[in-house]
Amino acid sequence: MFKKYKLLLIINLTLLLGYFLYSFLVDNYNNKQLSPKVTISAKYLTYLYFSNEKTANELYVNKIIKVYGTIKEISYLNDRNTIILAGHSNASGVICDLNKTEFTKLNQLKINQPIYIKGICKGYLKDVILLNSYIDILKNNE
Amino acid sequence: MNKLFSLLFILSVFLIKDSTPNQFIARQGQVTFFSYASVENIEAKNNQVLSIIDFDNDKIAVSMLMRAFVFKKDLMHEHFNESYIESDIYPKATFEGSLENFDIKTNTEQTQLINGTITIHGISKEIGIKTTIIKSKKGIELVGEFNLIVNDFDIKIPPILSNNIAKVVLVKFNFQYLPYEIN
Repeated sequence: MFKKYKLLLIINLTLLLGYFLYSFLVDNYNNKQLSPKVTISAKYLTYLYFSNEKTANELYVNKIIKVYGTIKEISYLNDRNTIILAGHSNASGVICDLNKTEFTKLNQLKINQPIYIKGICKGYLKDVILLNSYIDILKNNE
Repeated sequence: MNKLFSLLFILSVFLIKDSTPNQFIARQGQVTFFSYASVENIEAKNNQVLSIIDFDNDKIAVSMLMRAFVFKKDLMHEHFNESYIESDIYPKATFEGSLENFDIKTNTEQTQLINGTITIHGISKEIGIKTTIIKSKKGIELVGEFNLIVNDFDIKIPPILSNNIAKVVLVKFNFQYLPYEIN
């Protein structure tokens, strides 16, 4: 009887340990280390979403994508650091919510500057939304 | 000459009247929900909520991507989207309401009830949301909070997790609107 309870205890402790280890790994592995599935221009991305949201979602939602475009706006709303890339029309853009490690790069950026940003695509409202984004500032001769 | 001046004056009055914007947009509205339960407290924030106000029709519309809610733990985010909200099937939550008795001309802070329909997880409910409206130099700010009953939206919580998630969730919002020119 005691051996049976001992076995159950060991199994439960192993499962609990496994759960906490998995949680730790998921929380600490960020997409900065991962390669993007696709590189796409901000204009084309917003155009695709505007034309066919369902298809664009199938292609990009919850995927790491690298977007290149010009900076339309740098926003500090909601105590967040956000770069908005110009889209295919004045009415839309790509909202890139930056990972907190990227904040120090913001003082190097200017409006209309070309830039690459990698992030997780979450979908589209009037703008395409990227979260957990990382900046790749283009060199002057690129 | 006097008639010409009179005509120009009347025209300028109309032009000034028409230049007041009647549509406003917030692209980075913030919505936060709080679940206070005996086992744990959960907080999630969405900083990319879209909202449009149309004062011509006294309407407000809000739309948010459920996938854009950020949790402290990624595992909570996974459970929220895959098990509770099923965001692959119901990717957006929306609210459409009426701005009753709101006066755009006044600069003083107003607290009004916005009545409308909220849709989450494919279920729509009528709701009244107490909202404070503040007019700033740049535009308009809306802040408020309300409670939602999780069961009302057919959100299934596994019995083993029933003590982890509150039956009533507090929702807070803050939208900062700028004039919106429809192209």
